[in-house]
Amino acid sequence: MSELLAEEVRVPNSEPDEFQIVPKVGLIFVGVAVIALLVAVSTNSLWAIDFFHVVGGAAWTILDLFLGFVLGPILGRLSIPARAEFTKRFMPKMLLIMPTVVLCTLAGGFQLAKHEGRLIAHYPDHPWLVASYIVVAVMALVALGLLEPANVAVLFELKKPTPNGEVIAKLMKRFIYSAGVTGAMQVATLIIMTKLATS
Amino acid sequence: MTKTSEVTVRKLPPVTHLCVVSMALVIGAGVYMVSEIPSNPNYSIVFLLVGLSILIFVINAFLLVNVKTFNWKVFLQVIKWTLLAYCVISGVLIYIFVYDKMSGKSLDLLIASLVLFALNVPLNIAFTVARYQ
Repeated sequence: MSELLAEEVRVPNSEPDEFQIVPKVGLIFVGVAVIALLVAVSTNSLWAIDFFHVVGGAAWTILDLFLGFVLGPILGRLSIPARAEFTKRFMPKMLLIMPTVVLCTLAGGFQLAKHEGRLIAHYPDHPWLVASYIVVAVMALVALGLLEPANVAVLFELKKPTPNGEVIAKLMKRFIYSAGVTGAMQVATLIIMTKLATS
Repeated sequence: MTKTSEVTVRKLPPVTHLCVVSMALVIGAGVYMVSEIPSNPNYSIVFLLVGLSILIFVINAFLLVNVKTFNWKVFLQVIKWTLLAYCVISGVLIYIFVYDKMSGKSLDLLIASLVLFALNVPLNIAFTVARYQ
């Protein structure tokens, strides 16, 4: 994918201003989700906390695996203009969806573990919980340290009248290199969470 | 050398690498502290990790400030909004720790960790965007 983009150093952009890097309408949904999360925590409702953790976690895992192993390879085989068009419509949404989903999953998960007494160090399955912290830490580093900055930078590049394919290719390499790490961590998450849910 | 290749090969401080290391240290500190609940963690370890993270962040900011040719306008445009976003995220997490009646050194260190997190992520994003402008 990155090599193909690099071949065409300049990708003509017919409609450079047609998309918003941060979709303003999406901010309303993010605000609603964050307020609902705070209400769930403040009321200490087990159902609501569980809802945020399960729905957020499922969305996070499925999105990561689907993007890394299904959509990513398909995108790599599309023409450069098609890839650019898809990216312009898709990445701004991901910029809002992923941090929201991650926040809901982690906050919900921490409260759920506290509610069920699993945070305590002498809880029998505590090592599994610590393993989940480590897995989340690795995913957070990859997502926030490498992928999100590249995501925003690609969108800024695509906003230009003549996006620089070399810059986009260089940034997109991060997605290719990290897909394996993210995929492995998500599979580990599935193993840990199913173990904890059935213990 | 064309203008195109200049933006991809020009030498800049390793801001992204230092941000990731700084974040790894505070995340490590956070994981260690949370895994020790309800007992107190070994604070020497936590202070060391958070202290190193602060030091790396300060060095990183210093290196970046001294860059001569850099698109500061775009950098500031990006960092102000990402800072707002990550302050909200960190704020929610701090609220949860306070709500859970965490207190003392543990709370102080978790807040310090989240502040560092809320500074490092926007710095990294804004740098990555601005370096290619």
